[in-house]
Amino acid sequence: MNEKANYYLDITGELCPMTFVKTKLAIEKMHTGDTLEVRLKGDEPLRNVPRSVRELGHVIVSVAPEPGESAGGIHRLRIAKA
Amino acid sequence: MTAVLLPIFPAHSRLLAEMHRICFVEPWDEAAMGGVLTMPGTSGVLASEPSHGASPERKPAPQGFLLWRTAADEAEVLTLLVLPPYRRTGVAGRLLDHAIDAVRQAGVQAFFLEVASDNAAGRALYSSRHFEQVGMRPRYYRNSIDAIIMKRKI
Repeated sequence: MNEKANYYLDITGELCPMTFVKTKLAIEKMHTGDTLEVRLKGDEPLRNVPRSVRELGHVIVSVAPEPGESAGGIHRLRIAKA
Repeated sequence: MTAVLLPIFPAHSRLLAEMHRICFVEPWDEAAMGGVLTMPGTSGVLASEPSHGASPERKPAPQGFLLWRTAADEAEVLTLLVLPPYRRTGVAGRLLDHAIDAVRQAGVQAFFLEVASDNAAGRALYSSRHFEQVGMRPRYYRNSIDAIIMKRKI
């Protein structure tokens, strides 16, 4: 779990639907089994990005708030490409 | 001249990205636009000058477009724009009416959108089509403008 992801993406400055689109474009550049860590902010991407990524068939490895962040704050999402 | 409405396909990414760049301070580039157009459930409609008003020297100009996404019995407007020369000519209303008809035929019950609180023209358009405010995202846009969430029952 603490192993570093292969790729990293910060979408804290993006709005829907770019939050998901930027994540999707990043995943498309990866190989099967690679992992992507996505930094996101707010409940809209927290609700929509993992769901849409699952719909593409990829795996949500973990979702966790950054230290000191509230439920609607900045989160780290770990994705494994299927 | 009345615009013609044409369906949008992923092959239009470049054109739509150029139009988006003209209208928004945070435009979607061609790759991003392609990503939007290939998301599950995305549909779109483009308003264009009719071809009979054009000539070999002057091709029909695109005027505006609307993208929306449908998921189960809900839909949401992803983006709506009209290029500056064609504003206040009813293009946005025609695009929105088209989308409302399309989502109704798809069995959608509720149509959602977000609009910047300082976008008076947009809010007036949506109100005229019976969208009502159902929520707000404070300081949602980068310049700290609130986003108004609107909904219309279909």
